[in-house]
Amino acid sequence: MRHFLRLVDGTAAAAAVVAALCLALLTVIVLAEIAVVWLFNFSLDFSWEYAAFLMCAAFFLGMGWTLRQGGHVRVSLFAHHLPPGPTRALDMMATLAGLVISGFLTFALGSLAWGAFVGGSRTFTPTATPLAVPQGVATLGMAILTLVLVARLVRLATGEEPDEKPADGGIPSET
Amino acid sequence: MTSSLLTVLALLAGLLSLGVWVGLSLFGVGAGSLLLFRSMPVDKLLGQISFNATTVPELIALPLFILMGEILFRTELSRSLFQGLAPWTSRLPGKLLHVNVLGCTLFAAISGSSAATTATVGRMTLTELTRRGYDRKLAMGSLAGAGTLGFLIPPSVIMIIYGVLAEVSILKLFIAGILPGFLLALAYMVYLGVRATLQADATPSTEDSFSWGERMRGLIELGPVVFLIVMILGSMYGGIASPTEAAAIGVLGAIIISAWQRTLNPATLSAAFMAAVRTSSMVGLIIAGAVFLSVAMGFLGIPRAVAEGIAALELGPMGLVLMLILVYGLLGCVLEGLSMIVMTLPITLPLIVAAGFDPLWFGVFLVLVVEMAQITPPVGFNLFVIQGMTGEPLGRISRAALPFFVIMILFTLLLALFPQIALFLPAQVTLKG
Repeated sequence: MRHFLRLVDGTAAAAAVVAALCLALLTVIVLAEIAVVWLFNFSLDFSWEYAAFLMCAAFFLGMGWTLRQGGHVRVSLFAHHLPPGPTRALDMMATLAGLVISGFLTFALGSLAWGAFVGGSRTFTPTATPLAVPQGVATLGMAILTLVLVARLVRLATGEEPDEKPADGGIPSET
Repeated sequence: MTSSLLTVLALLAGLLSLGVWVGLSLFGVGAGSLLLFRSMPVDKLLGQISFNATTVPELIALPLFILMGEILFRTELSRSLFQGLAPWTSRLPGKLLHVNVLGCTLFAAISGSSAATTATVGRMTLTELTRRGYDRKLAMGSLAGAGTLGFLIPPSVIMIIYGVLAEVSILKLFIAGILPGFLLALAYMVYLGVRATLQADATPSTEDSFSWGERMRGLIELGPVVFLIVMILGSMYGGIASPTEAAAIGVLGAIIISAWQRTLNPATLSAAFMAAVRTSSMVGLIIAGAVFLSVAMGFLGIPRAVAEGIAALELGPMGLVLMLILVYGLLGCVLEGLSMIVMTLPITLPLIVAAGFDPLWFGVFLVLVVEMAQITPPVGFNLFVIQGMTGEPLGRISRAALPFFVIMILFTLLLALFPQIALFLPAQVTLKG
């Protein structure tokens, strides 16, 4: 079980680093697009399409780690008013419900990506990107989120602290 | 029709109060009610919509502005703002209390979020104002109120999300927020001035005097902020850049400022990127879930049913606005602002358009409503930020913010009576994107 939890944590953190790299690359692509439009008055035909796919990848690949860090918004109506036992039981139910939804989403995105792969769908742009690639990445991110939810359920059941505190001292996250 | 509406509401309330994450709840409610009431391939719809919603080109500005905010948060801008503004406010009634409002107004023009604005400006002002003997409640309250300008004065993360969901030009929304933002800031300053005149111990009796040399040095301190405002807003309003391009330019500008102030190093930069990933993923999940729920509600005919029900009440435009302020005020007690907007938009937007209001105007209205939710307990985000900085109890901070909350309500009513406050500027310009 230790191994499983460590593996999930490691995977989620690694995916988040890839998500950060996607954000960096996305910034560079948009800046490059601005530069070539200014300097040479011509547009990189892949820039907006790739930037959008990188954004999608950053969203999904970061989701599991964000959950681990307690970064996803949730309503905590009862958490402050109940003793620790019932709070933990409620949290387990919420995590289980989240797991079902996230699992269904993984399945839905997976079938979308699989359909694109089998059917060979591509974007209607000069780059003709195979859609299975960005959709596959989104599926991967969703699958990692689902695994993190499983790990969270295990942690709650074994009486461990379910969420990690963010160490980077960012702005309190809302929007 | 009624049964599907009740099911959606019950599912939503059930999942949210259980503590299921907002983004996942929205998906769950949409998928659950479609599975119950419509025989259709829900998984196909779910996969396609969650992919499409997260690849909308207009949305690219969102992670970029979030990233810019995280980089700026790790610079010395907080100190620059205080040292730059303090010498100029010492002669006003209310003195250095105005630094909160002016600092937030300036920072809001380079930040897309209220939490970022509150945290960045407050980091310096709260300790400085307390140390100089200013009324602590007034210092906290004005920060809580003015911090919310982060959403109203462009760039604004909430406006990007509203623009994408409501299919309204983000740039026009940005322009629509400017005048209301400045007027609201002015209203705060007037209140601070009046309050300081009536309440003798609001400001210290000893004079903080600044020489003209200090004032000039202050202007130099403000240089980086002004540089970034010109880069971001100038490029957009000059018609050179779309909001997304301006956001990328903003990230570059933030990195330049960080380098210039010698705060740029691998540690701060990677921390900024990781924090940006966390916020972006959180928002991304909520947006995808919201788009899906909105489509599901459309399939179930819910917006139309609600619209007919409301039309039967014959409220009239102002009655509708008053009702929405009330509903959002109540929702704001349990939900955080973004979740509140995305959940209600499929129903409220058609209502408000049918009542003859401009979707642009409604964007500004919603931002104001979210801002109010930001400073009302028990879930007011700006209150949490200030609590994190001061360690004061939440009740005390929210009481300190109350006068500014009242100003916001009055201002929202004013905006409803005179929609031109928001619509005048966007009508004057033609722009890119």
